[in-house]
Amino acid sequence: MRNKSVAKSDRELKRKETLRAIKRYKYLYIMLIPTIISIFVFRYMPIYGIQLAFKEFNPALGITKSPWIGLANFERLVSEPGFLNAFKNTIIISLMKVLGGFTPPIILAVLFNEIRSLRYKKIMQTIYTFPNFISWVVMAGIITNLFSGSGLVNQILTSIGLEKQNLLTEPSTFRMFILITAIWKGAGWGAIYYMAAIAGIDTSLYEAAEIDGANRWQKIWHVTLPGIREMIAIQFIMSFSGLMQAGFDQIFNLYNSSLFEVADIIDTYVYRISFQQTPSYGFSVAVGMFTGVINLVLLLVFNQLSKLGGGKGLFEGGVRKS
Amino acid sequence: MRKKKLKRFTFTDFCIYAIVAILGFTVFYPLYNSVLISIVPQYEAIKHPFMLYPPKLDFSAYKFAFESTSVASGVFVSGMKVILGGALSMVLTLLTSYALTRPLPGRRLIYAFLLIPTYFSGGIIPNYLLIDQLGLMNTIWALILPSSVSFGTVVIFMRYFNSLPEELEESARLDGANDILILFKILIPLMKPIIATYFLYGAVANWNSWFDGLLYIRTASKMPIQTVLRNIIQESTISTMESTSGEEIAVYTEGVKMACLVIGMAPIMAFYPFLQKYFVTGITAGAVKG
Repeated sequence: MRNKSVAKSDRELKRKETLRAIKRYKYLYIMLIPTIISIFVFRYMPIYGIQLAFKEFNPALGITKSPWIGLANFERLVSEPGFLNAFKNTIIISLMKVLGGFTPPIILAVLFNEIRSLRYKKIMQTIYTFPNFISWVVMAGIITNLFSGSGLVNQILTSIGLEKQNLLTEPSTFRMFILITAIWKGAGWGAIYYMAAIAGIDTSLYEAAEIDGANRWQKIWHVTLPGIREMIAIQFIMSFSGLMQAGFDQIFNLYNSSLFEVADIIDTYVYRISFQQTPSYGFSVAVGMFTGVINLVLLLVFNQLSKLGGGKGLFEGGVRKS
Repeated sequence: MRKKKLKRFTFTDFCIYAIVAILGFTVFYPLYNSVLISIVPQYEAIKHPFMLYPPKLDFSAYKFAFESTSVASGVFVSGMKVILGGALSMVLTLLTSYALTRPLPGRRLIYAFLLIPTYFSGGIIPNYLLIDQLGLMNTIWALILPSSVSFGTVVIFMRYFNSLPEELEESARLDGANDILILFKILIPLMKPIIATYFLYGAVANWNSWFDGLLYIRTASKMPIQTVLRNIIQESTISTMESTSGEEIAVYTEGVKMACLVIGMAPIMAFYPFLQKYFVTGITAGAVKG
């Protein structure tokens, strides 16, 4: 009996304390309100619309009243050639980017590290990283101009006696074209991550290697690269988590209907079935949900793997462990 | 003690400098070339496809771009987006990350509430229907409000708040300062570099975004610059294909097209070389993945 009342008053005390803390921090709660509203409206409310994946959307009836059609949208998914083609292209182009786009930033970072003139390094770094901050709309405009029939590349080709190439509409080389233009835009900025890692290498290691008579290549091979091994592993692992995103901005701005077979990816496909032709919202949401689930699994798996490799994880260190 | 030995500039050094320079040229020249095409008369651009400097200046392409296309209004809309959107998201990010690093009862719950939507999203159609239902369609708010808070940035700011020494706050509290005063008078001034960095990231993202404009804006004069550019590029490929003779071909010459593109990257071209260090700071401050 006595014990119980002690426990009760204990709990009461705790509640009072919490209430006091809430009162004490009332301004902080008020500070959080706009963000909570914004996240609720723009992030949670659209999730309500996911039910359209199991419905036949009728604009007159709205989301809630549109009729349920079970798994029909998902059945269509596995038999729709357009979707299967987009799925295949997404995987192929992503893998090409993961594997082909992986080494250029490392090579660049090592090259930069070998430049001794700080000013030269800085100027080059600015040039190399700049395209990363230009939109794909502008980049695509420049690329189209460069590779068009009368563009600079073809002018050079014809002037040295070679045949004109139409890389912008040639299906057999277009994926490679996508990979190379992606490297052109992104590799310089990617190198910055490795340069930050190289800057963290203990300089005494280089001095020791020098005393041991190591030449330049040996220093790169035995000091620089092992020093950024962890960063290389994390970047490589994490790049797999984006396997479902083959680069919507890039492809959407560069491709055309003659390239759908090799370059139509899930994101461009979803856009087209949603806003062009006769829109089929339910099917589009089903495709989005399907890729969303794969995305989530990839993110969780590879985020976990990168933590094993010594990475920080995406959102760690936010809330203090108390 | 670090002794700097004077090293000889060897042949290997020369090769490294040369490789970096040649690759750098191939990265840089396409951008530079598009600037050149936009500032020379069209016949010069055709006569000299490989220009290193403008043989003759002619800014009529820019005049045309500003007078006869939606580029001017696009610059205005995107500028508004950069300023309004950037200010809004910086205020929300600071308030949220500050509050969540204080010992609030229930802060873990709020943190989880913000975290969960980073793993799920409604997707393009539910977002589209939501914007429609909220009555934001064809307004600038459709371009600003949905992206007002980024959870990733909030987490990075929380790490930063956590890394600041607590003594700073305690002494201020002894002097009678409250939470709000502490945030604005003591903590925010210490966070200038990270605020600058993330404001710049946001500004670049806001300036470069085009897809929201494509989805939510119908009136040409309300479109952000990148959406306007996209329409110009798409239209011009059609018009040059269709009209082999006649005046229509003069509507979107390569010069005008390039002038529009240069306008689309001008702010970044102008500021990036000087602000580069802030962009790089973000890498060391932030998570591993950019």
